[in-house]
Amino acid sequence: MSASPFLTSPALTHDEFDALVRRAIFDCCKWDPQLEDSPSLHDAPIVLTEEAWSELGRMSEALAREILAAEQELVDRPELHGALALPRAMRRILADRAQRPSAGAARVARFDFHWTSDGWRISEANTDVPGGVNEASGLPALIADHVPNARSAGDVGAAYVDALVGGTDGVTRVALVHATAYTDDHQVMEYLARRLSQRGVVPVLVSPAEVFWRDGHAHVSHDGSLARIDRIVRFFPAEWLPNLARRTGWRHFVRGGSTVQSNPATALLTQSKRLPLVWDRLTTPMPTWRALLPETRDARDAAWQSSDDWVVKPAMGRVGELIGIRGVTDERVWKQIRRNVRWWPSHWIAQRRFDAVPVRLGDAMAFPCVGIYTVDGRTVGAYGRVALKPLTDWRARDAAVLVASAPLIEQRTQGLRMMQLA
Amino acid sequence: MRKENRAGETSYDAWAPAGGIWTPWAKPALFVHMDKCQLLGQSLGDWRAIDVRWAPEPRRATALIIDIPGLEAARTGVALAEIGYRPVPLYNVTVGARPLLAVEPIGDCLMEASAALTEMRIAADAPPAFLLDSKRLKPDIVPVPGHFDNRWMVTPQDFPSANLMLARGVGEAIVVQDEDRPPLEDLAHVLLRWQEAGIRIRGLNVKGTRGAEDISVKEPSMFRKAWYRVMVLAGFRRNAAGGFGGVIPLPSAGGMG
Repeated sequence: MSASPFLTSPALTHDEFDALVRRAIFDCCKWDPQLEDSPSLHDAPIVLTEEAWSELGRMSEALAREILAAEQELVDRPELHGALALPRAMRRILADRAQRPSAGAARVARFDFHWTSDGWRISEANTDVPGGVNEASGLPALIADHVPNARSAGDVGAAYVDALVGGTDGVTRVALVHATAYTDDHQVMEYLARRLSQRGVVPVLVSPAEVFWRDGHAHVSHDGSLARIDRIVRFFPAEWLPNLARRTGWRHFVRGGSTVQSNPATALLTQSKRLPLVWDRLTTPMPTWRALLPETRDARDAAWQSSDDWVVKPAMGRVGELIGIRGVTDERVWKQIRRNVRWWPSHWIAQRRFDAVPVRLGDAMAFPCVGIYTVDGRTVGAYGRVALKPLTDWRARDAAVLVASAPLIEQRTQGLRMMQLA
Repeated sequence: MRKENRAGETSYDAWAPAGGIWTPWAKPALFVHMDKCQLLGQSLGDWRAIDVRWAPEPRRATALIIDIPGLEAARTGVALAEIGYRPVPLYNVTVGARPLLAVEPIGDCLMEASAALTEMRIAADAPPAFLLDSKRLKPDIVPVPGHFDNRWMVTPQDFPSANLMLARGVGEAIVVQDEDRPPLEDLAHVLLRWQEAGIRIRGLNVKGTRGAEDISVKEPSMFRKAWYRVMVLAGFRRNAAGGFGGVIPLPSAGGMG
């Protein structure tokens, strides 16, 4: 195994952490600071070496290139959609080649990396509606003051807003489409709204049912009339769109929409965790994905019930929910997962388990997951999650990701210790 | 990226004081939205006139869950603070134009009560009084097109676990409602977990004449299902318009494009 890519910094003191949480709430729109008995923020950052950060950035850009090319191919390959466990209504619209795919720009994705005994591996990619932009942008700046000689991995919010409106004349109104009553989602959109406002753009926070389509252009109700939208940021998972009434015209998020979207709902084609099952039938080469994603099979083709070597996941799972690992997942949950896989096997995958390496992060030995954001194929920042067991689910805490500068490595005895796990 | 929200931060400091043992569970959403609300300081009213004699003498072993209409819950929270409880606002709600749930008066009340709350010097180990809005899932307004659907619900992750409650010496929880009925289904998910772990659950109707009575919490649908939380979050309980969280679409505006 290679040398650890992580450095560790001491945990914040209780008072420092309280102050951090308070600032995260009001400055970074972090409105879920507690989940049951645990804070949702970790009290120490994930600190990467400069070399590790460069390597993660390179790999993420390669992954982004491949996934966008795969999406482009899949849009015109409806015969493969059935293998991806997409909702039936979504498949119908995707297959309707009479309408061109909806316009997309500022393509944002997040690739979740884990440090394993075999080096970096990814567990999944969020190519449809990657969350955490508020934490990724704001937290590092708040915690960097406590970590000498380390810097933020990047301001994801700034890069994203640049891509949305930068250099484009006439972008005055951006719709931030999400489930507005869900504070978990609303906080991300509120943060982006603030960033857009700073750029002189009018953000409109709406639900997808509130977007009206005329001749393919998106409009929202504003002061009693319909106002045209210049850009759409969609933070409403594409697989939920079929829950909307047909009359809302939700199909325009997929095909036939002229208003530029980030991301168009065709991203669902690559969000499906069953994507690796069709790799061999694509003409798009996926070398980086093949190297970094553990072997993935249809759940019926792996001995996950009797072996610890496999993880089972729902094809459309998010935030680590319903992931089953024999011996790690609670027995009660494990039973429910087994039953569900039996009933709906084509909606699940089995993925070969990797051996995540625990790292000291503050006072805890934990399993960090480093989510690298790309915007239009360029690495722009990172968001960390810290789990106390080798499963990143809702219990995992959010953590700032920092990059150590060279002097920090040299001065590691002055408050920072090098992790030597190799 | 800092945005000035003095009213929200000052109020949050009062309702969720730094270092408070129940502070982590106070929901910040409504405080963060205070800069968007029209706050008139006219919602608290004469809170000293609120009769809270139904509440037991504050003692570490008993927690209250105030599940009555939101503004009344907030005002009752202030009155309970006066007698020694620590009110913990759990309003995890968003703000929009023409909302189904009128949350501005609640925000107004929270802001207006901040100074009084700070002056009360509530004991550090005061028992909690969790504040909810019993209208959260069934607002008075019938949803019609154009309304902002800001209904919300609680999940077990919004509360301390039974283990933590017991570790802090809390062996009893009283659910305070304003009518005789079982606890709302979302809250039942929390209460049944607590009851199964050995916490005594009692119910009390503030409009009734009887005192708190033991209740046996009925098993709500999907209890202990691994995907209960994910189904809540994933919107399987949303209405056809995409809400919670959608403006009910205008029929005249539907089917465009």
